[in-house]
Amino acid sequence: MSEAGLTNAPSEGTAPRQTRAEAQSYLSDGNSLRSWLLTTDHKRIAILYLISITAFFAVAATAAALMRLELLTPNGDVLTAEGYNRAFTLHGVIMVWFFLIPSIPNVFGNFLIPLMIGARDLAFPRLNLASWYIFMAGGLFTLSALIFGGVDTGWTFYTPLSSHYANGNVVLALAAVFIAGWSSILTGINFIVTIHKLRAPGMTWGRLPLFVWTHYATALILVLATPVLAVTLLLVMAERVFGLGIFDPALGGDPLLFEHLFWFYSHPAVYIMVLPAMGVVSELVTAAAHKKLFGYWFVAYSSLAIATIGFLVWGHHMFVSGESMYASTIFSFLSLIVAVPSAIKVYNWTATLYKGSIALNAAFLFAMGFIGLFVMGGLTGLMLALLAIDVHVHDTYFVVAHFHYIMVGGAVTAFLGAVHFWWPKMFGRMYNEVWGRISAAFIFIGFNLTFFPQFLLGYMGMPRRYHVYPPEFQTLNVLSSAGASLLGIGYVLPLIYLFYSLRNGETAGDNPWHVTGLEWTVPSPPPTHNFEEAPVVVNGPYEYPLSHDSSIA
Amino acid sequence: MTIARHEPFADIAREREADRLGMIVFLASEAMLFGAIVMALLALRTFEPTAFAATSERLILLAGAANTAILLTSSLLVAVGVGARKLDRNRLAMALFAGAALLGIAFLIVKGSEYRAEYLEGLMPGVGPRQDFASPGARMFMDAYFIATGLHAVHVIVGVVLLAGCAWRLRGDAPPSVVGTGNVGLYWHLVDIVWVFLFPILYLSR
Amino acid sequence: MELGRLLSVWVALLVLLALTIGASFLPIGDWRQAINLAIAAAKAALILWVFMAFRTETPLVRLVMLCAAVLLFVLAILLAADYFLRPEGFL
Repeated sequence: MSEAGLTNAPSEGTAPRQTRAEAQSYLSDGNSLRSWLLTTDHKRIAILYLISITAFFAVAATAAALMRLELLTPNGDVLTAEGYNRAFTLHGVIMVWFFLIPSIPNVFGNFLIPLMIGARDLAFPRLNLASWYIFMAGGLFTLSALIFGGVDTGWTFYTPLSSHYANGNVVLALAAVFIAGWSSILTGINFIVTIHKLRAPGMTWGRLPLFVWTHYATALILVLATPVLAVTLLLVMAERVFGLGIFDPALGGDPLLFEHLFWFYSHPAVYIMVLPAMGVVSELVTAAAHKKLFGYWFVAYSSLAIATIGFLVWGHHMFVSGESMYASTIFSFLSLIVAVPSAIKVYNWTATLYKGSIALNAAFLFAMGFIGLFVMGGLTGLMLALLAIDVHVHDTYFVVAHFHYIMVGGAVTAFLGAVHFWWPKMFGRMYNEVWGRISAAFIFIGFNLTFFPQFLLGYMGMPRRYHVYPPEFQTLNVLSSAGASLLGIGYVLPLIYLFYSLRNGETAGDNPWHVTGLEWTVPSPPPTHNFEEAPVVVNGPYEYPLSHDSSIA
Repeated sequence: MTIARHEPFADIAREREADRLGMIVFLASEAMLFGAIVMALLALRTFEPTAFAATSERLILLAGAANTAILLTSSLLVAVGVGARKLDRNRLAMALFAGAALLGIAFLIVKGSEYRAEYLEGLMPGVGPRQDFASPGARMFMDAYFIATGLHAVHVIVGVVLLAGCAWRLRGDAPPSVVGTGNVGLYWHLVDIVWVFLFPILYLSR
Repeated sequence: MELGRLLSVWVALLVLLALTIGASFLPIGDWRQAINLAIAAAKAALILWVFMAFRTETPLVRLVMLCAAVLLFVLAILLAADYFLRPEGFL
């Protein structure tokens, strides 16, 4: 699995300071800061995003660490109530908009989509760079809000707290998210046009890797849902800054209207976070099994189905906020339906693994972690979709556990799986496989220890967003915080061994995992223009067994 | 400039298709932006129907109607202008786009005078010589009116700049491409479509 | 001829504008709002089909706009499902 590729000369040694491929790759094409900050190369932009989202993750994880530290005891001893509110708000805002939403699409989507479809770049390379700068501007506003003391509204900015009563830097935070939203929209436009117009000759829709299908579905959501968030946040900013109150009940407005408009975006947003992760898992599963994906068209169309139905379920966040019972029933029914295409994917992945010759490398361990944890998150989501249960567990830790199973157990795990799978392609180096498996284990065990107790806590009635709780909940909270430390170790480990591999890792060949995909037919790391000449595609995706390392079938 | 092919496209025809598709996708997102505001307006109308209707009658219907006619006419000029560019009649296209930009400025002038009248009449929330809202619902209507028309006016300004810029470049040797000119036209038409919805909801809810 | 078509659509749009203003003065109650929205939709459709040349555009381009329109329609329907089906005493 870590043998050097067929194209590297043996006299180079297995771990030189710079491999021959690296010297001719996009990494060496200009070494100044300017060449990186003004690049239009999708691969360099992906790296810029990788660095930024890692930094944001660290900030938001620190907020989480403070919260878990506080929750070790039933009393408020680490943070005040106000301070705790600011911690979970910061954690939510940064994790959602500055880590989860950009993570897989803007790092791996940017890097891989042109390679996977046989193109030299995305359709609008300068727009791609603009997306990153807009993202960073939003990040700057968020960090300013943090430095000036934070926001206490929760990442959901419910009115009238956010529009009227909250003190703090609400407008800064709202502006940050508003700005970051435009980065999302431009990325979505880029992906849609690229996938329609830049596929290599012979790369029909039916030959696209599932990673591309899911990113297409994600781009549709990015483009259609994000503007609604933008305008909703604008309305709240208008109320705070100019006193123009649309959601103000004193004037006859309805705070629930805010929730309708907010969740109209924010529910599809969770599919923005999970669809790319599913695309990654589709790739990892076929790669590990060295077997054709079972039910290609089922999995492809299920991505579109998730995107479509995902737009119809937002009211399930408002079951106990005063929404009409009839509307709630409709939303409940549709929320049950939306689980079907996700389940279809899980069945197809399982069927793909059946009788495959499975390689248990680190990337695949993350993929397996995704499947198990996503299923648990999804099942608890179905529970939450049922009105009677939701009335009982709304705003408790049950909900918190549910979405962390999907977001962390699902999306973050898949992100790490993607990192471990495509790292050799992106940087031309193999990392230490043993450490990869160790961190996968730490993350899986740490994650379950952190979040499973929270299902129990929520069901027993512990509310979310509280920094104090009744003493009988302490044991489970301590378990949860202990798990969080293991999880933290699991996240820090890859930073160490992956970074180490950049200079000291073995040379990766073009196709170290011996898998299908156009990205594995170019050198690792790829040259700036990806392909010498446009590839002509004649085979389907996932045509195993591979006849030759540098073919896609 | 018009015949240069940009990376990563292998041929110009593809690139033009991609430019057009990109603009359309962007306009779809703009449609969602204003669509959400329209939905909010319709929701407000169901919360406070009488206050909504009463305050709607206090807006200057003549100004709103004139503005609608102005935008529709400017759309006509733009549509003809795009057609002229397709036939390489760039001087005609330039004149038409400049005319549309002027009509856009006329729209803004009418809008500005409406805002001034509302300011003096006490209908501008929070500012002005007095506040003359018949009820809290009336205040909410005016809040929504200023946000909706304000956001629209920002887009009109952007559109005017785009039209004027396009007209300027149509004078010279390196005019914008047919697709590029068409894209600017499409943006202006969307601004027009948004107003077509805002006008009846805000001015005609009597 | 292309110019003729554009001019006729412009005239039609102005006629619809007059109609929508006139309809708002008719004593037919809430139907006024419905008629005005329908007329606005008709004007938008004319602008899209002729001025924006969707008449001659590729199916893909038309599909993109259709998706946005359908989605807004969904938002309207489900918002209405909430606001019009609340128990007595709210709206």
